[in-house]
Amino acid sequence: MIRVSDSITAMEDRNMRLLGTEQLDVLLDAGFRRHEVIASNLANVDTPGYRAGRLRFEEEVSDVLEKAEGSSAGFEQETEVYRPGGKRGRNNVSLQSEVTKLSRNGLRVEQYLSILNFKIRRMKTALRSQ
Amino acid sequence: MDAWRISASGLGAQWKRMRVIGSNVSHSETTRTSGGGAYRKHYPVFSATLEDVSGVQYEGSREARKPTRTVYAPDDPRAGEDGKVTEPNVSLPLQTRDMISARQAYKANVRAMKQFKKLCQKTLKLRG
Repeated sequence: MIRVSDSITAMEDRNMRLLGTEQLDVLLDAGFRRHEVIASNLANVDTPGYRAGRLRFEEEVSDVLEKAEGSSAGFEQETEVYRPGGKRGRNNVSLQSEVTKLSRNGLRVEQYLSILNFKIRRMKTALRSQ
Repeated sequence: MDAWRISASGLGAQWKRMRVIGSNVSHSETTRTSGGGAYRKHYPVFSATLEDVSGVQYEGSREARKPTRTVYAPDDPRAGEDGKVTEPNVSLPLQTRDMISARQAYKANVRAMKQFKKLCQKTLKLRG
């Protein structure tokens, strides 16, 4: 169920230092978008027939990250919500799994933000030293 | 729809669900209603659009179709001529279970809201 997210976390750790500002931008956008999707799943935990939404973003980015190895080329900014599996007419939201995803996504976004912060700080230092 | 509204709609939905449960519990002994017969359990109905990310909408509450219980109690002043009392179809344990799950869902929505606030604050604090 969380295989995709797990693999990308490992990958991100490896490539974290290679991320450029543009990529961080895209990843942050996706992080906030993912938060919305999860919040929507949580809000609809009792809606009959609702199927949990996921962000298709993750797989594409992981692909690109592997190929591009930190270059800012080929980053897909398109995010798409899809609703996998589940019988039609049945709600397939699991509260526990959504809360876990929420926490993980929050940590991830915080990580991106602190990297971005670090980059800004480095830029400032470089500008000041001249 | 932004994250605030989505989470807020979830909070509202769970709140209404708890109100319906409260009404069921308080009417668990009501044997006479204006519509005749015993009280019937109500349940909340929610809806959402599946096209994009959306919040939840409360559509009102409906009566459950589950039949009311008929108990033979000739001594009971509420009994009819045949000595039977029609009792509501509310099951207190099930209502308690529903209440717990509503509370958990409410908490989860609060958590989503808090986390969004935290992320927004962190973003605002970006200054190198």
